[in-house]
Order: sequence, then structure tokens, then C-alpha cells
Amino acid sequence: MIEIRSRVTWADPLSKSLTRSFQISSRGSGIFVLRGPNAIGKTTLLMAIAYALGDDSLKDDLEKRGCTIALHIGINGSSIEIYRDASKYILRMNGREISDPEEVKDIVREFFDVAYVPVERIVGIRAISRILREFRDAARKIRERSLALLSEGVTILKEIAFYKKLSTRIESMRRELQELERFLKTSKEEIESTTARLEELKELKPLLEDLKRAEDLPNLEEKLKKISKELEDRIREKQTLISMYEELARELATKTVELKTKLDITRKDAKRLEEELKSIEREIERLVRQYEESKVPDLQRLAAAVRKENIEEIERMYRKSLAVLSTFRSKKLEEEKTFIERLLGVCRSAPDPSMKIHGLEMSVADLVTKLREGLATVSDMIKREREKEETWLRLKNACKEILELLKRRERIKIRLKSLEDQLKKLEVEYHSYEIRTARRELPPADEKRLERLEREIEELQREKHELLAEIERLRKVLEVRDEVMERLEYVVRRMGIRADRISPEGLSVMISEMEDKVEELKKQSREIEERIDELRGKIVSYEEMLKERERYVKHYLDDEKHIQDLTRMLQEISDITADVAERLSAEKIEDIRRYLEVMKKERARKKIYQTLYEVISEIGKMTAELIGRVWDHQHGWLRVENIDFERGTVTLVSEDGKVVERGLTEFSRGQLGLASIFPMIHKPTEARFGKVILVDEIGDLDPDRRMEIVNHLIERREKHGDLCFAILVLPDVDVKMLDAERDPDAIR
Amino acid sequence: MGSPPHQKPLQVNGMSSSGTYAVLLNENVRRLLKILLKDEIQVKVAELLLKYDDFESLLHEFKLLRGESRDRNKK
Repeated sequence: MIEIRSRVTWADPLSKSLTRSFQISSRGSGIFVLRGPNAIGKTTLLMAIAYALGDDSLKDDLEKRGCTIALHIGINGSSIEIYRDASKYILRMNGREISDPEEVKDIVREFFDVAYVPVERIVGIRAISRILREFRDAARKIRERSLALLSEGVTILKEIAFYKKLSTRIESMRRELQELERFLKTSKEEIESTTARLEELKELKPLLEDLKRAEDLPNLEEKLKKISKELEDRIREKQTLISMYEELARELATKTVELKTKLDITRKDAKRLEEELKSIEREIERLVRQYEESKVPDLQRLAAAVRKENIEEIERMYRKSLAVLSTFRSKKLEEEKTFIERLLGVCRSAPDPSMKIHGLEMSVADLVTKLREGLATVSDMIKREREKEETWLRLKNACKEILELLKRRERIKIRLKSLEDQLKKLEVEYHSYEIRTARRELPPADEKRLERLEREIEELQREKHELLAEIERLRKVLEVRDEVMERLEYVVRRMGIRADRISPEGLSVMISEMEDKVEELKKQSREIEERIDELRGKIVSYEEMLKERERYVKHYLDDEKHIQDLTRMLQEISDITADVAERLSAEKIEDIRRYLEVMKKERARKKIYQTLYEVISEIGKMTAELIGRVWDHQHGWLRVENIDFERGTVTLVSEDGKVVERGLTEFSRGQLGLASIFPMIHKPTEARFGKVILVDEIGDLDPDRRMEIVNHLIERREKHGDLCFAILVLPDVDVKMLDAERDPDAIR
Repeated sequence: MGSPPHQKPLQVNGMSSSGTYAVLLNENVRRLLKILLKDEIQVKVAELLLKYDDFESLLHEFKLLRGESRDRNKK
């Protein structure tokens, strides 16, 4: 006993927002007949059950339609629940749930072996169209991929070709590099050997030149003598000039010394006079102050005159004092005083002071008194005179002293002035000598002469020195003449130089030729080195490029031949499939017939049409094979031999070998498909719960043929015992699922 | 068209143990390809093209194919 409950939902093709659903459940022996009106979802349910039981061939179609299926199968006490949609695949069994889609799929396939049989789709024109479409789609896919992979293959081949070209180029560059390096080595060796020979010649050349010059030795010696004489003359001339100059210098020096001494003395004199002048002035100042401080008006006047330096006034005062002094009577008064004193002495010697002096009417005593009075007066007068005299004397002396001092000062000033003038003159003179002595200069003409002489002497000395050295060297050369000639001959012989070229000029030409050659070789070497550098650089960069390419083509390198063949094949395949992809399609038998006619016409012109013609013919055979057998009321079972689309006929063969030809349109779809169902019904399986056979659209078969299918199913179950369940779909007015074994009307 | 690897259909009388419909069509396509392309290796390459979309895998299979055909020729 088996129980099936199922519910399918899908999006309404007319309105995507609407979901349609169909559900049915039943219990029975296992062979069910699902009946219902057209377009209710019977086929969708059948397809969905196959999908739920792991048939992925309908997956895309169902998932595109947003289909979900919930299936419950009760079998042998087990309850299996399966839910599947585009995102979920869930299995619940005995309280356990598995939701990993892959795991569920594996388990479901382990349990059930489902076969969905769309009778009407396998056979008939729909099947043919389908085959054609599938073939065209496949051809298109093949073409698209072959083109894509062809382009990839071509790219890889190009890369390989480039890689190989690059490798070859690197190889050839390496060879070139090796050759160049060899060439460079040879070139350098040649440069070395030529340079060595050149050096030898260069060494020999001066020797040879020297030998030639040595012939000129007497002339050189004569020239030396001449130069020596000339040099001596010049030296003498120079010495004369110099001694003259030295004499002059000496004179100047002596004169300078003399002048210096004189200058020093004059300076000392001037200094002494200055000192003296200062002391006179100090003295005058002292006197003037003294006069100014005295209470004598004349002295004060004198001081004022001195201050004014009024010499005339001073001289006048002096003259006046002299005149005044000559008027003083002190001497006469002294004489009178002496007389009086003598008279007094006489009077004192008188015996009687009272005696009367004859002629004088007075006594001696009276006279004494009178004398004493007279003496006092005279003494007083003397005193006064003397005081006056002294004052004038003092004035006179002062005037005299001042005048003398002033005169002396004047003299000193004059002397000093003259000394100063002399000193200035001396100093100028001294200075001029001193400069000249210090410079020791010569007159410009002599100076130039001396310079010229020195130059000439230097030149002559150098010339003489060179000449001496040359003479010395040539003498030595002459000493080794034989030896040099011998060596020269040897070298010349060894180098294969023509004998007439053995001369300094000949050697010069040879040296110049060899130098040119060395230069040429060096230039060549440089060029080679540059090329070597360039090549090395290129090799490095090419190698880098190669390395980069290698990553991409490395694992293809050994497969080049295969890739070439494959791309060739891809090209051929894409060429052939192009026409299939573009042209081959048919929705009606009539289309195919028209198509075949075209191909028949064109096949002679174009090979592909012949091929396509063959393809369509093969589809006829193929369809015949698919149909296998058909039931015919007149002949019973007939084997379908061929379907000729061109003629629109089906060739049938009866069991007794009779060939029957029918029009293709005479066959019902179900009739054509029946035979293909049986092999499927009988195919054994190892699935745990057995085979699930879902046969769609058996309505086109007559009831006997439907029964035959049921019988085959029962036969299978009895023979193998592994039929899980089968559902056959029939159109009806009401929806129901019947047990075909128990209900005899189930398939009627 | 290309079957997923886990779905290895066994062909019995033009049918398969599961997903028969698709496999049946595969077989048809294969048969037609044979006619279209004539050359056996070309047919196999075309089939490989239905299976692989990368050059490396195709090349690998192609090499194996040629190896096989060489072996066959040797025998």
C-alpha cells in the first residue's frame, strides 16, 4: 500500500503576480491514474514530482516558472516528505530533517529512480522540432564556444610564435654577441701588437734623429762658443751697469747720513734756543709781575709797556731815568755833612764851650747846637735824595734789564726762525735722499737697459744650457751609434720595412700610418663595444619579456602542435555549425519539407546544404527509432523503419516482413509514441524504494493501449518487485486520482 | 545541455535511468553531430565544447582524445 499527497504551485504565465496551485492525494496499490480537465496542472504536477525525486532535466523549466512542490509518500510504514523549489530542497523522514540541497538530492536519488515519460513530447512533430531545436541550440553553443576558444587558441599560438621568435632572436643575438666578443678580442690583440710595434718605432725614431743630428755636432759646438761669448759680453755689460748703479747708491747713502747728522745738530740748536727763549720769557714775566706788584708807578708803567711790548716807551723811560739820576746832589750833601761833622769835631775840642767865636757872634755851644741842627737837616736830605735816587736807579736798571732781555729774545727768535728754515730745507733734502737711497732706483733708460740685458742673459743661458745638454747627449749617442744602427736594422728587418724608409722621415710616415691604423682599430673596437652593450641591454630586456611571456605560454609550449590542430578543428567546426546555428529550425512538418527542398536545390552548390540535408534525413531515421513500434488495427504491431520528411511518409514493417508506407499526418501522436514507453517500464533499478514511472498524456492512446501500459507496469512489479509507484495522466472533466488496479474504469 | 557531473546517465535503449528525456536528446544531438561533422574527432571536440568553456580543459581533453585515437591506430 502506498500513500501519495502532493501539492504543486507555480506562477501564472499570464499574470506573474498570481500563483496557481494543484494538489491531489491518494492511497492505493501504486499504479495511479490522475484525471482532470485540461490546463489544471496535471502535467506540471507530474513534472514537479519528477523534480522532487531528483530529476534535474526539468529543473530549469520548473524553476523558471517559480514552481514549488511538496510531496508526501507513505510507503512500508515510512513517511517521506520532500519539499523543493529554486532555493530549497528539504527532506523530512522519520522525524529527521535534511536541508542541504546536494545531500537531499543524493538521498532522494538513492531512494527513488524516477522516469518522467512525456509521450506526446517524445514522438510526433513536437519531438522532431524539439530535436531540431536542441540540435540547433547545441550547434549554436558549439559555434559560440569554438569561436571563443578559437580566438583564445589563436592568441596562445600567437604568443607561442612570439615567444619562439623572441627566443630565436635572443639566441641569434647571443651568437652575434659571442662573435662580436671574439672579434673584439682579436681587434684588441691587434691594437696591442700594433701599439707595441708603434712604441718600438717611436723609440727608434728619436735615436735615428739623434744620429742624424750628431752629424751637425761641430756646428753646434761653434754655436755654443758664439753663444758663450755673447753671454759673457752681456754679463759684463750688466755688471758695469750694476756697479755704476751701486756707486750712485753709495753716494746717496753717504749724503743721507751726512744730512741726517746735520739735521740732528740743527734740531738740537733749535731746541736749545727754544729753551733759552722760554727762560727769557719766564724771566720777563717774572720781572713784569714784580713791577706790577711794586708800588712804584714808573715800574708799573714799565710793566704795562712790556706787556704791550712797547720798546720805544721802555727806551724813553730808560733815557728819562738816566737824565733824572744825573740830577741827584747826594754826593754834595755828603760833602756838606762831612764838613759839618768836621766842624762839630773842632767845636768839641774847644776848651770852653761858652767862648765866643770871633766873627760869629755866638758861642761855641751855640755853634755846636747850630751845627747839630744843620747835620740833622743834611742827613735827612741825604736820606731823601738817596731814596729817590734809588727808585730811579731801580727803574733805570729795570728798563735796562728788560730791554736787554727783549733784545736777546728778539735775537733768539730771529736765530730760531733761521734755524727752523734751515731745518725744513734739510728735512726736505734728507727725505729726498732717504727715498732715493731706499729705492736705489736707476734712471729709466738704464733700468730698461738692465731689464733687456737680464732677459738676453737668461735667454742665452738657457740656449747655452740646452745646447750643452744637446751636445752632451749627441756625444753619448755617437758613442752608441753602432749599437743603435744594429738594433734599428733588426727591427726594420723584423717588420719588413723597405730599406729606403730607414730614415727619420720614413719612420715618421710609418708611425703616422700605424697611428692611423691603431686609431681606426680603436674606433672599430669602440663601435663593437657599443654594439655589445646594446646587444646585452637588448638581451636583458628581451629575456625579461620572454620571462613574462613564459609565464603565460610555458605550459602550452609542448602542445603547440595540438593547439594548432585544435584551433584548425575549432575553425572547421565553427564554419560548419554556423549554418546550423543560423538556419536549422522547424516548427511544422511542412517547414521541414520546405527546408529540405531548399537544401536539395542548393546542396550541389554548397556542401553544407548537403550535410544539412543528411542531418534532416537522419532525424527521420532517428524519430523512427524513437517510435520503435506502432499499433495498427489492420496489421497489429508494426516496426517503424523510417520517416521521410521530404515525401511526408512513414515506412513501416510488419512482423512478417511486409513493408507498409503511410502518410505522416495519418498517425496520432500517442500512437507513434506507445512503443517507446515499454522499454522504460521494464528497466530495472537498484533504488531503495524502487522505480517511479510518470507517464504523461496517455489520452491519445485507445483504451486497450492504456491497459497494455498498466499491464506492463503490473508485470514489472511482479517480475522485479521494485516498482514504487506509477502515475498515468488522462484528461477528464473532474479531478481525481484512481487506483488503476482496483478501479477497472480508471483508465477508460 | 551539458549534464552536471554527478548526473551520469546510463543509456538503455536510448533512455536513461533518470532524466531520460534530456539524455535522449543528448544522444540525438550526438548522432546529428556525427553526420554534420563527419570526422569522429571533430564530433568529440564538438561534444567537449558542450561540456567545457575553457581552453585549457578543452586542450587537455583533446590531447587525451588524440592519445586514444593514436592508441587505437596502433592496435
